[in-house]
Amino acid sequence: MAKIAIVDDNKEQRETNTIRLRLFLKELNSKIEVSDIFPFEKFSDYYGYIDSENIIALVIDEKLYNDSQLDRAPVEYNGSDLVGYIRERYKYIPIFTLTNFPEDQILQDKINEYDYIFSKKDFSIKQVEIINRACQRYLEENQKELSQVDDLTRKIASGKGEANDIEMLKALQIKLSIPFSSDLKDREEWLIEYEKQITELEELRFKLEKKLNK
Amino acid sequence: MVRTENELKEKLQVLLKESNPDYRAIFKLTRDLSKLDKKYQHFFVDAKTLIHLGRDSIKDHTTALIELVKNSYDADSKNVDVDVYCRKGGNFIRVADNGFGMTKDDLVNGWLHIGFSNKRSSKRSKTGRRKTGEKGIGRISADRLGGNLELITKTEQDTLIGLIVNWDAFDVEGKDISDIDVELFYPTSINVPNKDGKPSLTGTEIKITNLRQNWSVSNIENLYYELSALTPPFNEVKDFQIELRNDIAPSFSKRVNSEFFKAAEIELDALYEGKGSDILYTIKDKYSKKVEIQEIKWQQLLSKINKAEDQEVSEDLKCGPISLKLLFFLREAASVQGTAFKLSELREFLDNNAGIKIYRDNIAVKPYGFPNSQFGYDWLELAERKAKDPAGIGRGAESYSVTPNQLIGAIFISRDNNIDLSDSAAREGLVESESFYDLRNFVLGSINMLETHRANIYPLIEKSRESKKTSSSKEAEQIQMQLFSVKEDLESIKTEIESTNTKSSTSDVTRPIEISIEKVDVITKKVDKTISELLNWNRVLSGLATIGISSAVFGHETEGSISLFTNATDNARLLIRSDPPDLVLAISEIDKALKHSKKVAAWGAYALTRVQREKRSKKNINIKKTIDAVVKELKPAFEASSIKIETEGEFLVSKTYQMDIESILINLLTNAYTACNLKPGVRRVVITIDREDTRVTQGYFFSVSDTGPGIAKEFQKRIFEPLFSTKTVSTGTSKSVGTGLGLTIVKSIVDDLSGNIKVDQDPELKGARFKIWLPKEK
Repeated sequence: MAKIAIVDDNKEQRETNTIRLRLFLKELNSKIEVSDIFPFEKFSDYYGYIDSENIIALVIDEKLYNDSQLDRAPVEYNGSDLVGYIRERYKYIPIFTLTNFPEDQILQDKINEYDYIFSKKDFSIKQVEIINRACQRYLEENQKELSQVDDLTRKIASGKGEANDIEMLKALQIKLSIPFSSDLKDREEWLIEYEKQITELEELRFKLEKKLNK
Repeated sequence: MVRTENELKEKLQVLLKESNPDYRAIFKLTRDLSKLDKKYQHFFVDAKTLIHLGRDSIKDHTTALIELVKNSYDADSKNVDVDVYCRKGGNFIRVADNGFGMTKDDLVNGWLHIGFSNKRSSKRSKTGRRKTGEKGIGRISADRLGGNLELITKTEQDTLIGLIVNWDAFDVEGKDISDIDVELFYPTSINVPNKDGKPSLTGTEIKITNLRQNWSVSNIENLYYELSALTPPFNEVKDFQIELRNDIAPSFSKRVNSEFFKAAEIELDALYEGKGSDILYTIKDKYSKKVEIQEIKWQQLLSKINKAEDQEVSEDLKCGPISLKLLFFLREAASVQGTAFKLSELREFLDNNAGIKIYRDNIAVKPYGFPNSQFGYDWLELAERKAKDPAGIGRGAESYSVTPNQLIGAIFISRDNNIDLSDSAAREGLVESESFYDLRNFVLGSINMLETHRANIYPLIEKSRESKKTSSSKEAEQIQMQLFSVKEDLESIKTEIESTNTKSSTSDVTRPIEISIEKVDVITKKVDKTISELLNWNRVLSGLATIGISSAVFGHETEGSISLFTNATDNARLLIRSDPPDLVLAISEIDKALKHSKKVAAWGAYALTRVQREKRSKKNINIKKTIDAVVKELKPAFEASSIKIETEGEFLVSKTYQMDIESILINLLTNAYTACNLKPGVRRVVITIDREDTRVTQGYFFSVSDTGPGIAKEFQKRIFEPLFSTKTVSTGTSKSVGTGLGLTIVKSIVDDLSGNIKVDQDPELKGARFKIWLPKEK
């Protein structure tokens, strides 16, 4: 199921805002779930998290470097440092900041990276409506494009793909940040690999039969 | 009345035959006759032309008067009296000198000969002075000053002779210049300044009456400074002194002098002998006792000002021999310590005299370095250079530059040795030739030398300042001591009078003294009260500033609590209403809201209790307890940022102001908090309290150490400067968020309490450690 991530170093704030987001999403009849995390020590951990947890939007606190958790020391970055990193790979994912200091100058300098800047003081249903709408749009767009990718991949894999199909697929892969699969690039290589595996299977069958026949 | 040729001839013959011929009438007749000449005729000059010439060649009446003083200089006088009276003292201007004076021949064939100047034929005066004026019209500018001129002069050979000019007589239509009479007279006395302490046998006295305008105070002031600029302020021309007297601005009735130069911070002399590439520098300053002597090559000097890169540099300077004197001033109270004048006087002097002037044969060449000249004042473009790189002295020698208003300089050249530095025909000043550019670069390079020297001695300057600074409470003590000694002096005078005088008159004399003693008593008490009130205010203001600074830093925590309080309450409401209600979660949200509402309340109390009245009086307080109380108040903020804060040490009691201790501590803790947040990982702040006695004083210290990045060596000296801050918005940006006041407050309180502050790296926590030592009072 698709989720919105809340990233905040302050446990109490994080929990309260998670409860709020859940309550309001429910009120808006949204099926989207909420996941909350203490900031990761390393930026690179966010990519894996977004992919594996099916994150479709992020709500990030700005001053991430204050608090610690039982097993975790405070981190070294703030929200506006993180947003740029996420944008490198997920160009269109909705990202919001939820902060006590919406006027903060560093945050304002990065305003272009965010979809919206929210103040913690007035975080209520209106704000959640904005978040919800952005999530829906992102989901629809992505689903449309993902199914297009699926169709094109099948077509090319079956050898029916034309030159412009391959171009189109490449473009979608870039847009959706899907890593290129090397086997699609060269069908022959794929077939050799495929046949190699069939050969292995046959060899296995042969061994099994031999054993049974003993 | 036009006469015929014959009539004229007859009349002339009659006049010539008289026993006492009327030369004036003869002159007019012959002039009329000469107009009848059939072959040769002459220009005639209208009398008014003289007035126009005089008025147009001179900017204003100050300059007109300066022209007359220049003539005195050229006449080899040692002293010149300049009197300007236009109020109660009379209505006249007088310029009197003890120069060589004029003979009757000089007067008639020289002084009265418009456009003639013997200065063109003999450029040096008898004693070797290079003469200043050349145009031969300086004297007619006297018309600008007043309607009548009376001149008395005396040379060694001749008797006294005088001359009277009524300028207004020239100001009529249609008269020939020679129609106007200039009357000679033969006075019996002359009033000129003494020469070498003895009455002068020669000299010239000019008195101008029927003044054209009233002189204002600023006119006189201007005149004074123009006169002081006329001769070099560097005492090169010791034998030329001007005494100004007037009834308009009495404070300028004095010898035009340059005493102010004693207040210079740095004195630089540069000498170029005119050949080769060596320039000799002598640099003195107020701080280091020794004189620095250096020899610098021309090429080297140019490279200092980035002029040598793209062009070939000749061995010699094209401008010829030059000597340069530069004086560097600061406009601050320390500059006038040990001199006879006040800071306001120094500032005024600098306002009027700052700039680098060129002196040719010891007389200033305008407009270079004249404060009231639009382009000439900063002809070296020092202001533009400073604007491009405004770094202060603290940033080191590389980028420090002086501003033009801090420099007074003199470049000495002469007409005969610096032939290429000639006057521009088109305007004021010198021709901008290669020689001129060499001269300019020579000066710029020398300024750079001065700047480098100043940057080098900067640590010394700092040191001397530190030792000079007295804290405000000590200053108060000094004032009280002085008042006390005045009272004592008065009392001893009184006793003396009582013991010497006869009884009858004693009380008459001692009564005023008794009154004075009473007055001093009252004043002492008033001063005492005012000072203690001011100090109290100072204490409150420091406390308030400290709250402000700490609130800005810890504010995040409060803001967070406020939003959490409102959101958690709202959550609880929603959770109870939802179907089915989630009561467990609702209760936990209400608990959270309550906890944070208390935090907000605690912050309010923190601000309110900070400046309580009882904390402002001096009494015995338990230092450890005071520190613990502050720590307890700030702990939530530290914990919210994962900072573990702890206090180590024993109880100890000292008589002091609680608010001072709190202000110091809060400022240090605010800094420690910010520093800790700059680094991830374990964050700690440790406060240590202990006894520590010096050899003479009992005392104690408390130190604040943190796990932050520490203070870079280059900043350690500057962190106590007002408005200096290392706090930036986040790592990697240079935008400062600190106010730069916290440590300044700490330093001033510590100074006031006669303590000291040290900063170093904490050996265990690796961040900064601030250690405050204070005397222990009982």
